[in-house]
Amino acid sequence: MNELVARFHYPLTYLAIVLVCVVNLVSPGRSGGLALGSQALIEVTLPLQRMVALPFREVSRFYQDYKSLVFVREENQRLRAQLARVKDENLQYREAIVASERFQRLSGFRAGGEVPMVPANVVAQDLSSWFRSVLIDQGSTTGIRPGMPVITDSGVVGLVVGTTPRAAKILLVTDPQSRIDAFVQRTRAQGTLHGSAADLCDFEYVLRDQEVEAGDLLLTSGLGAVYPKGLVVGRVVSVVRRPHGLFQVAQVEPAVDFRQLEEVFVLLEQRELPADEEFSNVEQSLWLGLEAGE
Amino acid sequence: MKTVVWFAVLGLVLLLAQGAASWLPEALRPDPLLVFALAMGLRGSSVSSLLLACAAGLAVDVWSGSPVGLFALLRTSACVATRAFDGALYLRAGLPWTFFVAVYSVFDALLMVLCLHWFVGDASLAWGPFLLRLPGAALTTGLIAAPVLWVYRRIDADAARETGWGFIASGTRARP
Repeated sequence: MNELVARFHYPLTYLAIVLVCVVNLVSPGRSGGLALGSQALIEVTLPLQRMVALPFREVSRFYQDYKSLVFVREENQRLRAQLARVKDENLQYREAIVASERFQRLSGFRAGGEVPMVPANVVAQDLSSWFRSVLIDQGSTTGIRPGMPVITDSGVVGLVVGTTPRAAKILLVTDPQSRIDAFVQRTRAQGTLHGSAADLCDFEYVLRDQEVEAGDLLLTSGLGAVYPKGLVVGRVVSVVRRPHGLFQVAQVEPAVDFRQLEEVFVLLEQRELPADEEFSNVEQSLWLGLEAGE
Repeated sequence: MKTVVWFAVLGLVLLLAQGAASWLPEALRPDPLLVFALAMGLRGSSVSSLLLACAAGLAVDVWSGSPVGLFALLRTSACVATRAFDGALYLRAGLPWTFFVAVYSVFDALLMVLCLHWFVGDASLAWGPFLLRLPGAALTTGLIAAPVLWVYRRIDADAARETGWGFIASGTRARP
């Protein structure tokens, strides 16, 4: 027996590794955090990684700055024109805000308190070029937990998928595993934003009869119990309407430039999904309500 | 044991190199840990090499947004593939090795897509950018393969000269 094991120890070890990996891959959903070994690896290598990446990061920043300078004249003219248009729009919005505040006071609406946020710096990019995640320098000691949304002043960055005491892993909206429920600000057309490991995301499951155009702004819908409603996700670049099917698909450019992502904010608001039993209760009561309505 | 530690150090250095490379343009981004995993296959039937390749994959899993286990599976398979083709392709020479690594990196990317499709199902990649990135990534990965092979040879040769561990670790044992 021992001889047999000794003879086949290599293929047996390989098969064992394959089995463990496959079981891990097919097990449903994320565990909601990083395992202890993963945490230790990140904690040990993070300072080294930072040091090694620093010169590359600086060179990349210098190149980006240079590239920006080349087009600065054209951009300046375009921005001036845009500013004039925005000023005009701003006036109209101010009027709308004043009117909205008055209506809110009248209806007794009380705005909720501000969501606490933790600022953090991006310290490492995804090691693989096929996935999209970053590591930030704030972790569970500052109250960050898996499932919390991450934003910048431009819009949605992604979601915390794992933490160590001093770092957190963020799954970006462009990752193939990312799904965000969003709607078009102009027409309220609803759909799901799906990352694809490319610069653009797909806005899927939008009904064919709903209006979506290039240039439309996408906001989070608040459904899905992860992102608060109304965060900017991106802008529609193009729309594909196939001759068949129920849905249309739009290509969306994320609001955040992930190549120059340096500082982010983690919203310390973790929305809990109801347990399965609660779901079934809700479903049951819905059906009961419908039956009663009949 | 000493050899294994040296190879682990080499893996750590390549992990850091891969982290630094993540700031490069995607189309030219090499995969040093894939080269490491492939190089571990040159050590023959050594289980420690298999485990080191698996550890390299796990490190990528931890540091990236991939489902945990995906890169561990891919890197371990890469190690086994080198072992399988080592004799036939004479991978210990620089040119065949570089060519093998470049070709395997394309195969590895396609295998990753298949694994995602089979085991995860939910994650779908954009094929256009994915295919555009493959040749550049394969080229740069192939280019760094030769220096990694040189370091690998140095470690293995030193171990063999000092204690004979290189032979033991590479699984070349005299049959009774």
